[in-house]
Amino acid sequence: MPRDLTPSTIENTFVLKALTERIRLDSRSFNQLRDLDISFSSTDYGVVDVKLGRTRVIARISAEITQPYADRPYDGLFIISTEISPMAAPTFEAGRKSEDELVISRIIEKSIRRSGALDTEALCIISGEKCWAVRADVHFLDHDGGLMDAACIAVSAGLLHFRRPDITIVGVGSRREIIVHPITERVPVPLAVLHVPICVTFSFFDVRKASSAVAGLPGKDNTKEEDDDDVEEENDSSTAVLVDATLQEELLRHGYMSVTANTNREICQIQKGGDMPVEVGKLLSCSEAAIMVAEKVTKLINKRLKEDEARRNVGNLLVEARAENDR
Amino acid sequence: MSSEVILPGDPIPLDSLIDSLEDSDSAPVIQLGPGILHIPPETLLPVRAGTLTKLNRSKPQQSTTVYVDTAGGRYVPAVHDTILGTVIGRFGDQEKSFYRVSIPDSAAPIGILSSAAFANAASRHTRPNLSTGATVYARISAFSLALGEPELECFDEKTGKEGGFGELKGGMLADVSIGLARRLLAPSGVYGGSTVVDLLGQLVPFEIAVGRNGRIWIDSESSKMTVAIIKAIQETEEFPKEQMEERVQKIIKDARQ
Repeated sequence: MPRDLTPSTIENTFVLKALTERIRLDSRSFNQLRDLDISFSSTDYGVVDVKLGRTRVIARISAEITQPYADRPYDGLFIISTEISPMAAPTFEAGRKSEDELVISRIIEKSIRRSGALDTEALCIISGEKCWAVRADVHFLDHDGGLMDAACIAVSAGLLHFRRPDITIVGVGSRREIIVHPITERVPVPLAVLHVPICVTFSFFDVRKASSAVAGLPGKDNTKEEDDDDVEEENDSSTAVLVDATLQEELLRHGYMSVTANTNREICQIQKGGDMPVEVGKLLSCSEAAIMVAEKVTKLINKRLKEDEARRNVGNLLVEARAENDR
Repeated sequence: MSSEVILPGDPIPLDSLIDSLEDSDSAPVIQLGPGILHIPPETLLPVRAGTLTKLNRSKPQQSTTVYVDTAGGRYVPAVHDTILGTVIGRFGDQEKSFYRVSIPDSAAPIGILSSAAFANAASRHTRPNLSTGATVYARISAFSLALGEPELECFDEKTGKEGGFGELKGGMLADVSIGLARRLLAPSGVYGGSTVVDLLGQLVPFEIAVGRNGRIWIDSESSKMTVAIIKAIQETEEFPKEQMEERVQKIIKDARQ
Protein backbone atom coordinates (compact mmCIF):
# COMPACT_ATOMS: atom_id res chain seq x y z
CA MET A 1 0.00 0.00 0.00
CA PRO A 2 1.46 3.37 -0.92
CA ARG A 3 1.98 5.67 1.96
CA ASP A 4 3.14 9.21 2.43
CA LEU A 5 6.82 9.77 2.57
CA THR A 6 7.80 10.34 6.16
CA PRO A 7 10.79 12.59 6.65
CA SER A 8 13.00 11.49 9.52
CA THR A 9 14.06 13.55 12.51
CA ILE A 10 17.60 13.65 11.11
CA GLU A 11 16.47 15.31 7.90
CA ASN A 12 14.25 17.73 9.76
CA THR A 13 17.01 18.79 12.15
CA PHE A 14 19.67 19.03 9.48
CA VAL A 15 17.61 21.01 6.98
CA LEU A 16 16.58 23.54 9.61
CA LYS A 17 20.11 23.87 10.96
CA ALA A 18 21.53 24.28 7.47
CA LEU A 19 18.93 26.94 6.71
CA THR A 20 20.04 28.97 9.73
CA GLU A 21 23.47 28.93 8.09
CA ARG A 22 21.75 29.85 4.82
CA ILE A 23 22.67 26.57 3.13
CA ARG A 24 20.29 24.62 0.92
CA LEU A 25 20.87 20.96 0.26
CA ASP A 26 21.44 21.44 -3.45
CA SER A 27 23.66 24.46 -2.73
CA ARG A 28 21.25 26.86 -4.40
CA SER A 29 20.62 30.28 -2.93
CA PHE A 30 17.23 30.83 -1.26
CA ASN A 31 15.65 32.60 -4.23
CA GLN A 32 17.18 30.55 -7.00
CA LEU A 33 15.13 28.36 -9.33
CA ARG A 34 16.36 24.94 -10.35
CA ASP A 35 17.50 24.41 -13.93
CA LEU A 36 14.45 24.85 -16.11
CA ASP A 37 14.22 23.18 -19.48
CA ILE A 38 11.27 23.58 -21.83
CA SER A 39 11.05 21.62 -25.06
CA PHE A 40 8.28 21.22 -27.60
CA SER A 41 7.33 18.20 -29.62
CA SER A 42 8.89 18.39 -33.04
CA THR A 43 5.79 16.95 -34.73
CA ASP A 44 2.67 17.87 -32.77
CA TYR A 45 1.46 21.29 -31.75
CA GLY A 46 0.84 21.91 -28.07
CA VAL A 47 2.97 19.14 -26.59
CA VAL A 48 5.42 20.52 -24.04
CA ASP A 49 7.98 18.77 -21.92
CA VAL A 50 9.03 20.77 -18.85
CA LYS A 51 11.92 19.75 -16.65
CA LEU A 52 12.42 21.64 -13.42
CA GLY A 53 15.41 20.04 -11.79
CA ARG A 54 14.39 16.42 -11.46
CA THR A 55 10.67 17.19 -11.67
CA ARG A 56 9.27 16.43 -15.10
CA VAL A 57 5.86 17.30 -16.49
CA ILE A 58 4.42 16.86 -19.96
CA ALA A 59 1.36 18.82 -21.06
CA ARG A 60 -0.64 18.10 -24.16
CA ILE A 61 -3.18 20.55 -25.54
CA SER A 62 -5.90 19.31 -27.85
CA ALA A 63 -9.07 20.78 -29.31
CA GLU A 64 -12.31 19.41 -30.67
CA ILE A 65 -15.63 20.89 -31.72
CA THR A 66 -18.57 20.50 -29.33
CA GLN A 67 -21.70 22.26 -28.21
CA PRO A 68 -21.26 25.14 -25.72
CA TYR A 69 -23.00 25.18 -22.34
CA ALA A 70 -26.58 26.39 -22.66
CA ASP A 71 -26.04 29.26 -20.22
CA ARG A 72 -22.87 30.45 -21.95
CA PRO A 73 -23.61 30.31 -25.68
CA TYR A 74 -20.72 32.65 -26.62
CA ASP A 75 -18.01 30.79 -24.69
CA GLY A 76 -15.90 27.90 -25.76
CA LEU A 77 -14.80 25.20 -23.33
CA PHE A 78 -11.46 24.96 -21.62
CA ILE A 79 -10.67 21.98 -19.42
CA ILE A 80 -7.46 21.24 -17.56
CA SER A 81 -7.00 17.67 -16.46
CA THR A 82 -4.34 17.11 -13.82
CA GLU A 83 -4.43 13.56 -12.66
CA ILE A 84 -1.33 12.42 -10.86
CA SER A 85 -0.47 8.79 -11.46
CA PRO A 86 1.89 6.64 -9.39
CA MET A 87 4.43 7.21 -12.15
CA ALA A 88 5.35 10.52 -10.54
CA ALA A 89 5.88 9.06 -7.08
CA PRO A 90 4.66 5.85 -5.44
CA THR A 91 2.76 7.90 -2.86
CA PHE A 92 0.18 8.86 -5.46
CA GLU A 93 -2.55 6.32 -5.97
CA ALA A 94 -4.28 5.89 -9.30
CA GLY A 95 -7.93 6.86 -9.25
CA ARG A 96 -7.86 8.26 -5.74
CA LYS A 97 -7.29 11.94 -5.27
CA SER A 98 -5.00 12.78 -2.39
CA GLU A 99 -5.18 16.11 -0.65
CA ASP A 100 -1.95 17.24 -2.31
CA GLU A 101 -3.34 16.38 -5.69
CA LEU A 102 -6.49 18.39 -5.04
CA VAL A 103 -4.44 21.41 -4.04
CA ILE A 104 -2.30 21.09 -7.15
CA SER A 105 -5.25 20.82 -9.55
CA ARG A 106 -6.98 23.70 -7.81
CA ILE A 107 -4.00 25.99 -8.01
CA ILE A 108 -3.49 25.21 -11.70
CA GLU A 109 -7.19 25.74 -12.34
CA LYS A 110 -7.09 29.10 -10.56
CA SER A 111 -3.82 30.15 -12.15
CA ILE A 112 -4.70 29.48 -15.73
CA ARG A 113 -8.39 28.96 -16.30
CA ARG A 114 -9.88 31.39 -13.84
CA SER A 115 -7.28 34.06 -14.51
CA GLY A 116 -8.58 34.15 -18.08
CA ALA A 117 -5.31 33.21 -19.72
CA LEU A 118 -7.24 31.72 -22.59
CA ASP A 119 -9.89 33.87 -24.24
CA THR A 120 -12.77 31.40 -24.32
CA GLU A 121 -14.99 33.73 -26.33
CA ALA A 122 -12.58 33.37 -29.20
CA LEU A 123 -13.37 29.66 -29.21
CA CYS A 124 -16.98 30.25 -30.17
CA ILE A 125 -17.84 29.14 -33.70
CA ILE A 126 -21.63 29.45 -33.95
CA SER A 127 -23.18 30.88 -30.79
CA GLY A 128 -25.15 28.31 -28.85
CA GLU A 129 -24.42 25.58 -31.35
CA LYS A 130 -20.75 24.94 -31.97
CA CYS A 131 -17.58 25.86 -30.17
CA TRP A 132 -14.07 24.63 -29.64
CA ALA A 133 -13.35 22.62 -26.52
CA VAL A 134 -9.71 23.04 -25.61
CA ARG A 135 -8.32 20.41 -23.32
CA ALA A 136 -5.02 20.44 -21.45
CA ASP A 137 -3.85 17.07 -20.21
CA VAL A 138 -1.05 17.31 -17.71
CA HIS A 139 1.07 14.23 -17.12
CA PHE A 140 3.36 14.19 -14.13
CA LEU A 141 6.31 11.97 -14.94
CA ASP A 142 8.67 12.60 -12.07
CA HIS A 143 8.11 14.24 -8.71
CA ASP A 144 10.87 16.15 -7.01
CA GLY A 145 8.83 19.03 -5.66
CA GLY A 146 7.28 22.00 -7.43
CA LEU A 147 4.68 19.98 -9.36
CA MET A 148 2.31 22.92 -9.65
CA ASP A 149 5.02 25.30 -10.80
CA ALA A 150 6.15 22.90 -13.49
CA ALA A 151 2.56 22.09 -14.52
CA CYS A 152 1.67 25.76 -14.77
CA ILE A 153 4.68 26.47 -16.98
CA ALA A 154 3.83 23.44 -19.11
CA VAL A 155 0.19 24.42 -19.68
CA SER A 156 1.03 28.08 -20.34
CA ALA A 157 3.72 27.16 -22.84
CA GLY A 158 1.43 24.54 -24.40
CA LEU A 159 -1.35 27.06 -24.97
CA LEU A 160 1.11 29.38 -26.69
CA HIS A 161 2.46 26.59 -28.83
CA PHE A 162 -0.84 24.95 -29.78
CA ARG A 163 -2.45 25.51 -33.18
CA ARG A 164 -6.00 24.50 -33.97
CA PRO A 165 -7.16 23.69 -37.52
CA ASP A 166 -8.62 26.59 -39.43
CA ILE A 167 -12.36 26.53 -40.10
CA THR A 168 -14.78 28.24 -42.48
CA ILE A 169 -18.52 28.55 -42.11
CA VAL A 170 -20.55 28.19 -45.28
CA GLY A 171 -24.25 28.68 -45.86
CA VAL A 172 -26.79 30.69 -43.88
CA GLY A 173 -29.39 30.10 -41.19
CA SER A 174 -30.09 26.53 -40.28
CA ARG A 175 -28.17 25.27 -43.31
CA ARG A 176 -24.83 26.53 -42.07
CA GLU A 177 -21.97 24.12 -42.26
CA ILE A 178 -18.53 24.14 -40.75
CA ILE A 179 -15.60 23.07 -42.86
CA VAL A 180 -12.54 22.03 -40.87
CA HIS A 181 -9.36 22.44 -42.89
CA PRO A 182 -6.72 19.91 -41.98
CA ILE A 183 -3.41 21.44 -40.94
CA THR A 184 -1.79 20.03 -44.06
CA GLU A 185 -4.17 22.09 -46.12
CA ARG A 186 -4.26 25.44 -44.36
CA VAL A 187 -1.97 27.11 -41.86
CA PRO A 188 -3.42 26.28 -38.42
CA VAL A 189 -4.52 29.06 -36.10
CA PRO A 190 -2.98 29.89 -32.70
CA LEU A 191 -5.21 30.24 -29.63
CA ALA A 192 -6.08 33.65 -28.22
CA VAL A 193 -3.80 33.65 -25.19
CA LEU A 194 -4.33 36.87 -23.25
CA HIS A 195 -1.49 36.54 -20.76
CA VAL A 196 1.02 33.94 -19.59
CA PRO A 197 0.50 33.06 -15.94
CA ILE A 198 3.51 31.58 -14.15
CA CYS A 199 3.15 29.97 -10.75
CA VAL A 200 5.93 30.28 -8.18
CA THR A 201 5.83 28.44 -4.87
CA PHE A 202 7.57 29.83 -1.81
CA SER A 203 8.27 27.52 1.09
CA PHE A 204 8.50 28.90 4.59
CA PHE A 205 10.62 27.41 7.32
CA ASP A 206 10.41 28.57 10.90
CA VAL A 207 14.10 28.45 11.69
CA ARG A 208 13.47 29.17 15.35
CA LYS A 209 12.36 25.58 15.52
CA ALA A 210 15.90 24.63 14.58
CA SER A 211 17.32 25.45 18.00
CA SER A 212 14.71 23.40 19.81
CA ALA A 213 15.15 20.49 17.43
CA VAL A 214 18.91 20.52 17.84
CA ALA A 215 18.49 20.47 21.60
CA GLY A 216 16.75 17.16 21.16
CA LEU A 217 13.30 18.42 21.99
CA PRO A 218 11.37 17.86 18.81
CA GLY A 219 7.73 17.07 19.27
CA LYS A 220 4.25 18.27 18.90
CA ASP A 221 4.05 20.08 22.25
CA ASN A 222 6.98 22.22 21.36
CA THR A 223 5.70 23.32 18.01
CA LYS A 224 2.23 24.03 19.40
CA GLU A 225 3.65 26.56 21.79
CA GLU A 226 5.48 28.38 19.09
CA ASP A 227 2.48 28.52 16.82
CA ASP A 228 0.61 30.46 19.47
CA ASP A 229 3.24 33.19 19.48
CA ASP A 230 2.28 36.63 18.28
CA VAL A 231 2.82 37.27 14.63
CA GLU A 232 4.51 40.57 15.46
CA GLU A 233 7.31 38.78 17.18
CA GLU A 234 8.41 37.32 13.90
CA ASN A 235 11.15 39.12 12.14
CA ASP A 236 13.00 38.39 8.98
CA SER A 237 15.55 36.11 10.57
CA SER A 238 12.94 33.80 12.07
CA THR A 239 11.56 32.68 8.70
CA ALA A 240 13.49 31.26 5.82
CA VAL A 241 11.74 31.71 2.48
CA LEU A 242 12.79 29.30 -0.26
CA VAL A 243 11.85 29.48 -3.91
CA ASP A 244 11.18 26.26 -5.83
CA ALA A 245 11.58 23.69 -3.07
CA THR A 246 12.65 20.14 -3.81
CA LEU A 247 10.52 17.23 -2.61
CA GLN A 248 12.58 16.87 0.54
CA GLU A 249 12.16 20.55 1.35
CA GLU A 250 8.45 20.34 0.55
CA LEU A 251 7.99 17.51 3.02
CA LEU A 252 9.75 19.40 5.78
CA ARG A 253 8.46 22.94 5.27
CA HIS A 254 6.19 24.59 7.81
CA GLY A 255 4.17 26.61 5.35
CA TYR A 256 4.01 27.59 1.72
CA MET A 257 2.55 30.18 -0.56
CA SER A 258 1.93 29.83 -4.26
CA VAL A 259 1.80 33.06 -6.19
CA THR A 260 0.83 33.17 -9.85
CA ALA A 261 1.92 36.25 -11.72
CA ASN A 262 2.46 37.41 -15.27
CA THR A 263 4.68 39.85 -17.07
CA ASN A 264 2.02 42.57 -16.85
CA ARG A 265 2.83 42.60 -13.12
CA GLU A 266 -0.60 41.15 -12.36
CA ILE A 267 -1.09 38.70 -9.53
CA CYS A 268 -3.48 36.02 -10.79
CA GLN A 269 -3.74 33.88 -7.74
CA ILE A 270 -2.35 33.47 -4.25
CA GLN A 271 -2.73 30.34 -2.21
CA LYS A 272 -1.27 29.91 1.24
CA GLY A 273 -1.03 26.60 3.02
CA GLY A 274 0.57 25.12 6.08
CA ASP A 275 0.29 26.34 9.63
CA MET A 276 2.51 29.35 9.49
CA PRO A 277 1.38 32.97 9.52
CA VAL A 278 2.86 35.22 6.85
CA GLU A 279 3.08 38.93 7.49
CA VAL A 280 2.28 41.62 4.95
CA GLY A 281 5.89 42.48 4.18
CA LYS A 282 6.65 38.92 3.23
CA LEU A 283 3.54 38.71 1.08
CA LEU A 284 4.68 41.76 -0.84
CA SER A 285 8.25 40.64 -1.25
CA CYS A 286 7.10 37.20 -2.41
CA SER A 287 4.76 38.75 -4.96
CA GLU A 288 7.58 40.91 -6.23
CA ALA A 289 9.83 37.88 -6.48
CA ALA A 290 7.11 35.92 -8.26
CA ILE A 291 6.82 38.65 -10.89
CA MET A 292 10.58 38.52 -11.44
CA VAL A 293 10.46 34.75 -11.88
CA ALA A 294 7.46 35.06 -14.21
CA GLU A 295 9.38 37.49 -16.38
CA LYS A 296 12.36 35.18 -16.54
CA VAL A 297 10.29 32.08 -17.32
CA THR A 298 8.16 33.86 -19.92
CA LYS A 299 11.34 35.00 -21.63
CA LEU A 300 12.56 31.41 -21.76
CA ILE A 301 9.21 30.17 -23.11
CA ASN A 302 9.27 32.79 -25.85
CA LYS A 303 12.85 31.94 -26.72
CA ARG A 304 12.01 28.24 -27.02
CA LEU A 305 8.87 29.04 -29.07
CA LYS A 306 10.99 31.06 -31.49
CA GLU A 307 13.52 28.26 -31.80
CA ASP A 308 10.73 25.77 -32.40
CA GLU A 309 9.16 27.93 -35.07
CA ALA A 310 12.47 28.41 -36.80
CA ARG A 311 12.97 24.64 -36.82
CA ARG A 312 9.52 24.04 -38.27
CA ASN A 313 9.93 26.61 -40.98
CA VAL A 314 13.28 25.61 -42.41
CA GLY A 315 13.11 26.37 -46.11
CA ASN A 316 9.71 28.04 -45.84
CA LEU A 317 10.06 31.14 -48.00
CA LEU A 318 6.71 32.54 -46.90
CA VAL A 319 8.17 33.11 -43.42
CA GLU A 320 10.98 35.16 -44.94
CA ALA A 321 8.49 37.21 -46.92
CA ARG A 322 6.21 38.15 -44.03
CA ALA A 323 5.25 41.80 -43.83
CA GLU A 324 6.09 42.02 -40.14
CA ASN A 325 9.73 41.04 -40.68
CA ASP A 326 12.53 43.56 -40.37
CA ARG A 327 13.60 44.99 -43.69
CA MET B 1 35.36 -9.37 -13.13
CA SER B 2 34.43 -8.06 -16.53
CA SER B 3 31.55 -6.04 -17.82
CA GLU B 4 30.01 -4.93 -21.09
CA VAL B 5 26.85 -3.10 -22.04
CA ILE B 6 24.12 -5.48 -23.16
CA LEU B 7 20.59 -5.12 -24.53
CA PRO B 8 17.63 -7.48 -24.19
CA GLY B 9 17.93 -10.28 -26.71
CA ASP B 10 21.67 -9.96 -27.24
CA PRO B 11 23.41 -13.32 -27.37
CA ILE B 12 25.50 -14.44 -24.40
CA PRO B 13 27.85 -17.15 -25.69
CA LEU B 14 28.16 -19.85 -23.08
CA ASP B 15 31.78 -20.44 -24.02
CA SER B 16 32.75 -16.95 -22.95
CA LEU B 17 31.52 -17.74 -19.47
CA ILE B 18 33.19 -21.12 -19.20
CA ASP B 19 36.48 -20.03 -20.74
CA SER B 20 37.06 -17.49 -18.06
CA LEU B 21 37.11 -20.22 -15.44
CA GLU B 22 40.39 -21.81 -14.61
CA ASP B 23 40.77 -25.46 -15.41
CA SER B 24 39.60 -27.71 -12.69
CA ASP B 25 38.40 -31.23 -12.27
CA SER B 26 34.84 -30.40 -11.41
CA ALA B 27 32.29 -29.28 -13.97
CA PRO B 28 32.04 -25.49 -14.43
CA VAL B 29 29.24 -23.85 -12.49
CA ILE B 30 27.42 -20.83 -13.85
CA GLN B 31 25.14 -18.93 -11.51
CA LEU B 32 22.49 -16.72 -13.08
CA GLY B 33 21.64 -13.44 -11.45
CA PRO B 34 18.92 -10.90 -12.14
CA GLY B 35 18.13 -9.92 -15.72
CA ILE B 36 19.07 -13.19 -17.39
CA LEU B 37 16.61 -15.75 -18.66
CA HIS B 38 17.64 -19.36 -19.02
CA ILE B 39 16.05 -21.20 -21.93
CA PRO B 40 16.97 -24.89 -21.54
CA PRO B 41 19.15 -26.53 -22.47
CA GLU B 42 21.82 -23.90 -22.83
CA THR B 43 20.56 -20.57 -24.15
CA LEU B 44 21.07 -17.50 -21.99
CA LEU B 45 19.06 -14.43 -22.85
CA PRO B 46 19.33 -10.99 -21.25
CA VAL B 47 15.87 -9.60 -20.51
CA ARG B 48 16.85 -6.07 -19.58
CA ALA B 49 19.38 -3.47 -20.65
CA GLY B 50 22.42 -2.83 -18.52
CA THR B 51 25.94 -3.94 -17.87
CA LEU B 52 26.56 -7.64 -18.21
CA THR B 53 28.63 -8.41 -15.16
CA LYS B 54 30.58 -11.61 -14.56
CA LEU B 55 32.10 -12.47 -11.22
CA ASN B 56 34.48 -15.40 -10.96
CA ARG B 57 34.83 -17.32 -7.75
CA SER B 58 37.21 -20.10 -6.90
CA LYS B 59 35.73 -20.98 -3.51
CA PRO B 60 33.92 -23.12 -2.58
CA GLN B 61 34.07 -24.24 -6.20
CA GLN B 62 35.02 -22.81 -9.57
CA SER B 63 32.03 -20.74 -10.59
CA THR B 64 30.94 -17.70 -12.54
CA THR B 65 28.08 -15.50 -11.49
CA VAL B 66 26.57 -13.60 -14.37
CA TYR B 67 23.89 -10.95 -14.22
CA VAL B 68 22.70 -7.71 -15.82
CA ASP B 69 23.47 -4.73 -13.63
CA THR B 70 21.30 -1.61 -13.81
CA ALA B 71 21.51 1.61 -11.87
CA GLY B 72 17.84 2.28 -11.42
CA GLY B 73 14.69 0.47 -10.45
CA ARG B 74 13.01 0.00 -7.14
CA TYR B 75 14.71 -1.74 -4.29
CA VAL B 76 13.58 -5.29 -3.69
CA PRO B 77 14.51 -6.44 -0.17
CA ALA B 78 16.85 -9.37 0.18
CA VAL B 79 18.15 -11.11 3.29
CA HIS B 80 21.53 -9.77 4.57
CA ASP B 81 21.06 -6.40 2.87
CA THR B 82 21.71 -3.38 5.02
CA ILE B 83 19.10 -0.67 4.75
CA LEU B 84 18.42 2.80 6.10
CA GLY B 85 14.89 3.22 7.38
CA THR B 86 12.80 5.54 9.47
CA VAL B 87 10.80 4.47 12.51
CA ILE B 88 7.17 5.35 11.90
CA GLY B 89 5.45 3.58 14.75
CA ARG B 90 5.56 1.08 17.53
CA PHE B 91 3.28 -1.75 18.55
CA GLY B 92 3.18 -4.57 21.08
CA ASP B 93 3.40 -4.45 24.85
CA GLN B 94 6.15 -3.59 27.32
CA GLU B 95 7.66 -7.07 27.27
CA LYS B 96 7.66 -7.58 23.55
CA SER B 97 7.43 -4.56 21.37
CA PHE B 98 8.14 -3.93 17.71
CA TYR B 99 8.96 -0.92 15.61
CA ARG B 100 7.44 -0.29 12.26
CA VAL B 101 10.20 0.97 10.00
CA SER B 102 9.56 2.64 6.68
CA ILE B 103 12.04 1.63 3.99
CA PRO B 104 11.83 4.37 1.38
CA ASP B 105 11.85 3.45 -2.30
CA SER B 106 11.38 -0.22 -1.54
CA ALA B 107 9.07 -2.79 -3.07
CA ALA B 108 8.09 -3.70 0.51
CA PRO B 109 7.84 -0.26 2.08
CA ILE B 110 7.45 -1.22 5.73
CA GLY B 111 9.75 -3.44 7.78
CA ILE B 112 9.34 -4.81 11.27
CA LEU B 113 12.10 -4.32 13.81
CA SER B 114 11.80 -6.10 17.14
CA SER B 115 13.03 -4.13 20.12
CA ALA B 116 14.90 -7.29 21.08
CA ALA B 117 16.79 -7.33 17.80
CA PHE B 118 19.54 -5.05 19.09
CA ALA B 119 22.91 -5.79 20.62
CA ASN B 120 22.67 -6.12 24.44
CA ALA B 121 18.89 -6.32 24.23
CA ALA B 122 18.55 -9.33 26.50
CA SER B 123 17.02 -7.26 29.25
CA ARG B 124 14.12 -4.92 28.79
CA HIS B 125 16.09 -2.11 30.43
CA THR B 126 18.99 -2.17 28.03
CA ARG B 127 16.83 -2.06 24.95
CA PRO B 128 16.95 1.17 23.01
CA ASN B 129 13.91 3.39 23.03
CA LEU B 130 13.39 4.74 19.54
CA SER B 131 11.01 7.59 18.92
CA THR B 132 8.98 8.09 15.77
CA GLY B 133 11.15 9.65 13.09
CA ALA B 134 14.36 8.01 14.28
CA THR B 135 16.65 6.72 11.56
CA VAL B 136 17.97 3.18 11.91
CA TYR B 137 20.70 1.37 10.08
CA ALA B 138 19.44 -2.21 10.00
CA ARG B 139 19.95 -5.53 8.29
CA ILE B 140 17.19 -7.56 6.71
CA SER B 141 17.07 -10.86 8.56
CA ALA B 142 14.09 -12.47 6.91
CA PHE B 143 12.07 -11.67 3.85
CA SER B 144 10.02 -13.28 1.18
CA LEU B 145 7.61 -11.56 -1.15
CA ALA B 146 4.84 -13.80 0.13
CA LEU B 147 5.62 -12.83 3.71
CA GLY B 148 5.16 -9.19 2.87
CA GLU B 149 7.00 -7.29 5.54
CA PRO B 150 10.75 -7.69 5.84
CA GLU B 151 12.10 -8.46 9.30
CA LEU B 152 14.95 -6.26 10.46
CA GLU B 153 17.80 -6.62 12.93
CA CYS B 154 20.19 -4.05 14.34
CA PHE B 155 23.28 -6.07 15.21
CA ASP B 156 26.18 -7.71 13.42
CA GLU B 157 25.11 -11.23 12.57
CA LYS B 158 28.61 -12.62 12.98
CA THR B 159 29.58 -11.10 16.31
CA GLY B 160 26.22 -10.28 17.83
CA LYS B 161 27.64 -6.88 18.69
CA GLU B 162 26.40 -3.48 17.62
CA GLY B 163 28.75 -3.25 14.62
CA GLY B 164 27.56 0.16 13.44
CA PHE B 165 23.90 -0.83 13.32
CA GLY B 166 21.16 0.88 15.28
CA GLU B 167 19.90 4.43 15.53
CA LEU B 168 21.85 7.10 13.67
CA LYS B 169 22.06 10.52 15.26
CA GLY B 170 23.05 13.78 13.62
CA GLY B 171 24.21 13.95 10.03
CA MET B 172 21.98 13.89 7.02
CA LEU B 173 20.23 11.41 4.72
CA ALA B 174 20.30 11.56 0.96
CA ASP B 175 18.99 9.54 -1.96
CA VAL B 176 21.22 7.81 -4.48
CA SER B 177 20.37 5.30 -7.18
CA ILE B 178 20.28 1.72 -5.96
CA GLY B 179 23.04 0.91 -8.42
CA LEU B 180 25.30 3.46 -6.76
CA ALA B 181 24.34 2.18 -3.32
CA ARG B 182 25.41 -1.29 -4.39
CA ARG B 183 28.70 0.04 -5.73
CA LEU B 184 29.39 2.02 -2.57
CA LEU B 185 29.01 -1.15 -0.52
CA ALA B 186 31.13 -3.30 -2.82
CA PRO B 187 34.70 -4.03 -1.74
CA SER B 188 37.41 -1.91 -3.37
CA GLY B 189 38.24 -3.23 -6.81
CA VAL B 190 34.85 -4.68 -7.60
CA TYR B 191 32.87 -2.36 -9.93
CA GLY B 192 35.90 -0.08 -9.84
CA GLY B 193 35.39 0.00 -6.09
CA SER B 194 33.80 2.58 -3.90
CA THR B 195 36.06 5.12 -5.60
CA VAL B 196 34.21 8.21 -4.56
CA VAL B 197 34.31 7.30 -0.88
CA ASP B 198 38.04 6.59 -1.09
CA LEU B 199 38.61 9.93 -2.79
CA LEU B 200 36.56 11.81 -0.24
CA GLY B 201 38.27 9.96 2.58
CA GLN B 202 41.62 11.34 1.51
CA LEU B 203 40.28 14.89 1.58
CA VAL B 204 38.00 15.18 4.55
CA PRO B 205 37.02 13.15 7.63
CA PHE B 206 33.44 11.97 7.54
CA GLU B 207 31.13 9.11 8.46
CA ILE B 208 28.99 7.25 5.97
CA ALA B 209 26.31 4.58 6.15
CA VAL B 210 24.95 3.12 2.93
CA GLY B 211 21.56 1.45 2.69
CA ARG B 212 20.93 -0.89 -0.20
CA ASN B 213 17.56 0.80 -0.63
CA GLY B 214 19.32 3.75 -2.21
CA ARG B 215 19.79 5.92 0.83
CA ILE B 216 23.00 7.14 2.36
CA TRP B 217 23.71 8.80 5.67
CA ILE B 218 26.59 11.26 6.00
CA ASP B 219 27.99 13.08 8.98
CA SER B 220 30.95 15.43 8.97
CA GLU B 221 32.46 18.48 10.66
CA SER B 222 29.85 20.99 9.45
CA SER B 223 26.54 21.20 7.63
CA LYS B 224 28.29 22.84 4.73
CA MET B 225 30.74 19.97 4.41
CA THR B 226 28.00 17.36 4.74
CA VAL B 227 26.05 19.01 1.92
CA ALA B 228 29.23 19.08 -0.17
CA ILE B 229 29.97 15.39 0.44
CA ILE B 230 26.42 14.40 -0.51
CA LYS B 231 26.72 16.52 -3.63
CA ALA B 232 30.05 14.93 -4.53
CA ILE B 233 28.63 11.42 -4.19
CA GLN B 234 25.40 12.12 -6.09
CA GLU B 235 26.96 14.15 -8.86
CA THR B 236 29.89 11.95 -9.80
CA GLU B 237 27.93 8.69 -10.11
CA GLU B 238 28.57 8.39 -13.83
CA PHE B 239 31.98 10.06 -13.98
CA PRO B 240 35.10 8.26 -15.12
CA LYS B 241 37.82 8.14 -12.48
CA GLU B 242 39.99 11.12 -13.50
CA GLN B 243 37.02 13.41 -13.94
CA MET B 244 35.56 12.23 -10.66
CA GLU B 245 38.80 13.05 -8.85
CA GLU B 246 38.83 16.55 -10.25
CA ARG B 247 35.17 17.21 -9.47
CA VAL B 248 35.30 15.82 -5.94
CA GLN B 249 38.36 17.91 -5.15
CA LYS B 250 36.66 21.03 -6.44
CA ILE B 251 33.46 20.46 -4.47
CA ILE B 252 35.36 19.90 -1.23
CA LYS B 253 37.63 22.88 -1.85
CA ASP B 254 34.62 25.12 -2.47
CA ALA B 255 33.02 23.92 0.75
CA ARG B 256 36.15 24.79 2.74
CA GLN B 257 36.04 28.43 1.69
